[in-house]
Amino acid sequence: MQGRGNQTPPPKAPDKYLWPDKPAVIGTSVKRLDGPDKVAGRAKFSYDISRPGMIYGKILRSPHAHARIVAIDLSAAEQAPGVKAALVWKQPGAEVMFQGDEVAALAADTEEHAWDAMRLIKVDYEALPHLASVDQAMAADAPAVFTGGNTKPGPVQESGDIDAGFKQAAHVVDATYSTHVVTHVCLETHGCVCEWDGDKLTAWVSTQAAHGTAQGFAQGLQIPQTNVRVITQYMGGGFGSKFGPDTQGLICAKLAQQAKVPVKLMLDRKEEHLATGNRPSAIAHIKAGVTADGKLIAYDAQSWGTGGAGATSNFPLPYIYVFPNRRRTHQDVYINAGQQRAMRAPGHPQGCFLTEILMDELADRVKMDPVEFRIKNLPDRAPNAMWGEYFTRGAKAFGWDKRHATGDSTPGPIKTGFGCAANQWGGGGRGSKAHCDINADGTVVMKCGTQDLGTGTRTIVAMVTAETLGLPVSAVTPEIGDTMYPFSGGSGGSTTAASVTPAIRVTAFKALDALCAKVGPALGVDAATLVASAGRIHVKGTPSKGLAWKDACKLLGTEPISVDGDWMDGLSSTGTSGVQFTEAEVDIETGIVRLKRVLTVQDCGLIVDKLTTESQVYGGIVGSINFALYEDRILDRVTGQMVNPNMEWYLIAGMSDVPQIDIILNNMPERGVIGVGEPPTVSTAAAIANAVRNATGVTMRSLPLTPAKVLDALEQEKAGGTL
Amino acid sequence: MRGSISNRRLFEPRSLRDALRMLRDEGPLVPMAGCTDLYVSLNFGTLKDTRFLNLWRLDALRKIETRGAGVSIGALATHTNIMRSALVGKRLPMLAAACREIGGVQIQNRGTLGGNVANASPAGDTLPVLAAADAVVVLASAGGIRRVPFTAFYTGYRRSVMRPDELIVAFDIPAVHGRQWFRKVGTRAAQAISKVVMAACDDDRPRIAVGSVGPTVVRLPRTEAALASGASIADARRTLVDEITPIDDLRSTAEYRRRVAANLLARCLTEFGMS
Repeated sequence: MQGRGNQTPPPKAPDKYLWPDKPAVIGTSVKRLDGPDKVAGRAKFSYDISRPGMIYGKILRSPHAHARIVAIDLSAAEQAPGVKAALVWKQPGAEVMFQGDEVAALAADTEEHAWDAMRLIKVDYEALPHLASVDQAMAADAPAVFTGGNTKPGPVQESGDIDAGFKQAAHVVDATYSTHVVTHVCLETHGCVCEWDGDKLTAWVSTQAAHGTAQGFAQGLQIPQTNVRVITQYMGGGFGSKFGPDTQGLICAKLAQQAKVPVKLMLDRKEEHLATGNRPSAIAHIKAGVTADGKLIAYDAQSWGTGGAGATSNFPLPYIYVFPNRRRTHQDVYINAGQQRAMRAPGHPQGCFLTEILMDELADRVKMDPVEFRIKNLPDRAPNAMWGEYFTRGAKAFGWDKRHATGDSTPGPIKTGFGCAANQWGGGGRGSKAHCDINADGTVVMKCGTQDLGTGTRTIVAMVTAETLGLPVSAVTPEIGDTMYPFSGGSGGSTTAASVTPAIRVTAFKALDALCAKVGPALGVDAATLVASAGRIHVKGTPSKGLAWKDACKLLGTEPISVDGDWMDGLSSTGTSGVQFTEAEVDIETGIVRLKRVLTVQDCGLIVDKLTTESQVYGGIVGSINFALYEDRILDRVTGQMVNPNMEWYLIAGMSDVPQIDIILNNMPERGVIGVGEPPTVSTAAAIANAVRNATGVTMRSLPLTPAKVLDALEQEKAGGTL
Repeated sequence: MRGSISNRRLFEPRSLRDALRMLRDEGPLVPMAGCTDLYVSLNFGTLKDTRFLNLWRLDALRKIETRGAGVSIGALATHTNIMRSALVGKRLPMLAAACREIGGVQIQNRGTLGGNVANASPAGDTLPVLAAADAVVVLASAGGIRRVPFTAFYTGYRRSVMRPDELIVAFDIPAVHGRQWFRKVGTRAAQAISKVVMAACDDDRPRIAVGSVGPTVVRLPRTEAALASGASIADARRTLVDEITPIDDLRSTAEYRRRVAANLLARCLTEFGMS
């Protein structure tokens, strides 16, 4: 989505637009403006939207992992109490490729009537052979379920001389590492409310791309995009899985068209787990060599993974460290399960885990401290290569010098250990537009068609406007989350802040210039000498020679300022780095891992709102704790059905599982705005597994770290907890 | 899959006598109080029952009082009631410990001790406490009262001696003189269903009960007998492993449960000062 309309190089921002050296608002901790509305329940999420005459849509999904639809009979369902619309989504003859694939849908006056009517839809399936696991799909005698094969090899990546590299290695580690499939678990499930007025559609959608979703509706329904309005005032999490109307959005729109009343169609938790995306699994056989003095020298990896039915699974490997001689192959493995979607730093948590565990093993072989070993093997040049400095700084703050050698030798069942890992991400963004109104009464509205997927975008729109106009944040009304406002791209790739804030800055400056054009003559000074600060428009360097903001705006009379602005180059950049440290406790009698603390050093360029930046980091770390310890999409080996499509058996952390989290942010104003949504969630899981290793002496090469798996590994190492 | 609830019927007794009469005359009815288990099956679409008896307002069944040197706890006492009871805190702290680990605050406010027992899940967190403490289940019907030892209450997976016309009204728990011990092992720190749950007391002889390792909560008579005759912790672990019958399920594996139950026993006995 980002970068739309950027075929020609964007204009460079004039010097006076650049971020201020001494900001009044930017970089401070501003509480989210909509926090009180969310806490009080006044904020209306798509789930809360209720329209006059609205009815409820439900989707009938395939219970089979793979089947051909023979016949669908809607007639009994159409006659059921309260049913107003029904449709067939996949025609007889078509195949369903995973449990949860959409088959048919209906809408009724109540959710309960809709559920009751769903049971009356008759579908005849012809069951077809399916693949429920990577092992089944890769077996020599596997049925050919996918056209072109159940696996798809990717290109070989190779540099240096592998054989020569291994000849120089003093130590070699040769092992298999893996991460598992997890789902996005958005607390607000996917879905929308669709309402037609003639041929015009208004959709309240839980999406991380309002404009992109409008485009998706237009294409999917074959209507002009000008006839679609998407509204997303508040939404409860997307993590990469909510970029368009999706099938459920198109179904909702069609049901509303058929029923001639608004339809609400929000997925339930089971549908959410089955059909709205996931993070692919990652498995690799890795052979890695290190020289006697601790330099990484050779690396050979064969990796594979599954992104479900016909979807990709690639990830970066080796992660950030430099092996001068390396080879890597990857193949996608297809199974009959829901397709993967981008999930918070796609690929990076997998690549980070598969690399960072190996790093601790190699460090042990050469008897080096893991931090020292990492610093020795960092890349020389990278746009964001701050890891060396961060490892040193973080280790000091964390008390890394108190780390014991591998294996906690203190008595008692609770063993404590330290671990670390690094992350990197791109971020950066472009292409947003904005509109600013300044009224004669001094009120200011800044409009931008971006959306706040929980990161605090609404708040930073107001902050940048306030900074530019010399006003308090409370004097600005930010308007976002509506395609009636100027274009902004999807919130993916940690691009929102870097895409939105430059556009806001430029637009606010254009509005300010227009205001100064009125104030200059009134004061008898050149408008170019005027600046805005502390609620006044005044001659630069002479605050007394000027007007209070309200008095300046009175000069507008009956003609308010109303200007558009575009993203400009020079206010943002790309590339972040971070490191994380964890302290974990392992109960060797139960295998339970509890975290005591996490410390991170993280950069993201210019910090706009310190508080919401920290919140992003907290959220990312908690997400990675979930990945490490709790989440796991489990498919039945025989049926291919998910056995834990709920939140009772698919666990995420509760508040009491979240440890102390210390955040050290490295503010880098000279780099402009970059974004921080994804990097913090990359590396915690790896740092946890390394802490478990340090605590117990047992290397955990596979996620999640379930108590059974940890106890099993301990048993194999005869380290305790024996029968 | 969920569905309309309009075809379900709710009976609202105003007294225990009223409730028992409804059970006799209108039965079979499914008794409900906090509904913390019923809502789960309703949401999963597995709740087949259509006729319910709402006990929630029968405050007389919520009492926690002394009974000799022991405690009597009404079936409708919530986990919160029990956690906050000074009497339970003094005489049966392992029960307060169990209630503290059940669900979240909302569940603790709604869920009842009687419901935890009636639901008959082998993973119920309070059940090992009642088993180890030799509690007595007080059952009432229109025909009168009968008292069943808790250890004889369950007859199989989710089955008990309770008749359809009976209600659990209270638990009588005799005095526990020795030390008490409770431990729940779940994946998360809170709101996780137990993988293994154990309660124990060392009165004149050790009494040990375990949940989630068989079709019902179990006492460990052979392990207890071995310990009473001076077995070492290592011997007791071996006896326990032979005595329980865990299975593989979504929450854990049989092997994990066996190993952890043995480790918990060893931990408990160590804390009791045995060797």
